[in-house]
Amino acid sequence: MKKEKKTKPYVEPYFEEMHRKGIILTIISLILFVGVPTITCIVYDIMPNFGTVIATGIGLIAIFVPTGIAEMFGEVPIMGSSYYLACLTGNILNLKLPSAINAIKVSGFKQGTKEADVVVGIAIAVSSLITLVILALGVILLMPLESFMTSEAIGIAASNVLPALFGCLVLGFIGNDVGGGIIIKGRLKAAIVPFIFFIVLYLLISDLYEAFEGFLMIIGIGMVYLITKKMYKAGKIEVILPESDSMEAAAEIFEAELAGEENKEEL
Amino acid sequence: MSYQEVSESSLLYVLVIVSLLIIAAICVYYLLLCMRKAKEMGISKQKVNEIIKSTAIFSIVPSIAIAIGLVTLVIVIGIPYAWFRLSVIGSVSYELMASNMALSALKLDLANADADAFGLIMWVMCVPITSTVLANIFVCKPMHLGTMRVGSGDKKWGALSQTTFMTALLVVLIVPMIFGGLVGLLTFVTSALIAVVVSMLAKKTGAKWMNDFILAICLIGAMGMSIVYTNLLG
Repeated sequence: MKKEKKTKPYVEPYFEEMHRKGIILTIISLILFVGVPTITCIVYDIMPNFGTVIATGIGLIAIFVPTGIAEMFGEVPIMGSSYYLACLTGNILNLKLPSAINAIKVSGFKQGTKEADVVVGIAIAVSSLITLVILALGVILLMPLESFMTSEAIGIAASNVLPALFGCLVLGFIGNDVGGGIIIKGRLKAAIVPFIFFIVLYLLISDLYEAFEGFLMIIGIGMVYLITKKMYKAGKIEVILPESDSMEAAAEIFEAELAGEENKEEL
Repeated sequence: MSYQEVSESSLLYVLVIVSLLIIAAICVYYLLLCMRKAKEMGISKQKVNEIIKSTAIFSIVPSIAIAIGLVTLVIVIGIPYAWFRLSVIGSVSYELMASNMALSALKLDLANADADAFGLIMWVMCVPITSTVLANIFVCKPMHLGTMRVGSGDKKWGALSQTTFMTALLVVLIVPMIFGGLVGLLTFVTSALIAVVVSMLAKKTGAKWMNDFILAICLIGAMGMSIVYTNLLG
């Protein structure tokens, strides 16, 4: 028997194009990332043995490669097709992710739509450019500002940038309005058990917690997803769609019912 | 050749500046591409400008924090490569860990390291994190499109399921910020309180422009207060 060919699910041309361009930009950037050490090492005749590089960096590879891939599960759904650019310019947790969350919040678009994807792209490109400019200024002003930049007070402030960032971001996330005119009541109830779980986990293994954050994100997504689904099915979470979407949803249900009736008749 | 002769060489400066100019051009291209796409989707120019303004203002303070990290990294790997690494894929913590790991593996310290050690450090910093970027080429698209299809059968569940990713991400990330120490917790709460006060003020006075500055005000205010908390609590 001939095996039926699996049809590819439909992908909007916008997402196809953005992913294709993201991949091209990644390849160009990878050439630069590798090109700088390659040319330097060739010119100065200091090219290390590949085996020594792997042997020296094995600890980093063991920690960062699986963690980096695990982090993608949490970050890609939010940053979408702009994740390529976010990775190229780095500093994801302390800059790109908050920028993306802020852009979704400011725009009011529903996460997962192409409109949200495009505003996240704008935010990530702008924040990358700002970092490039400030770091260039930092290099120019390194000498005159060295005493200021190495002062104790500035060190304390810089080490608290994450709680300062996420304090206001989390607050904006608490409301029922999730963008696109969609109101969801009670969705945060699904986060209570995972939140308690991660607090206990952090208190038990605080030294390892941050090193394995990527894996914890996967566990967190699984927990929040399953609890949310259960609570939604039990009617404990209410989703109110904007009128146009509700009409579409009703039409879809009607069409499905109609198809069901037709199938029964055929039988 | 000494370690410093290579790490501060003009060749490295030229390579880094050229590479960063190309990266900046990539960012500008991407920004223009997204702005064109936004226009095609009918997103108003006003909304796009609002996002650009809000992101630009908000990005300044965290970028300064990254620039502060530059000072620490410069001591280990010199100005040009530290500048390059922090402007592209890396982060201060990763770069510092990678450079120190390479030095200790060679049983060297900066005082007696030679040019070969710098060559090794450059590659040890480059290979692990570049592999994750390489993985994006194969993993990012299927992962993104896969998560978008979650809940596609039921519109209500579809909308709800998309929020679970951000909820989970925030739950995992804020735990160490809140329970990592009293200063972190107070900084977190201060930032949230400032956000409440500023948005209330913006609403009451009708000063909509204030909303563009909320994140920047929260950041500066909370980071400033973290110095006070540290001094008070020791």
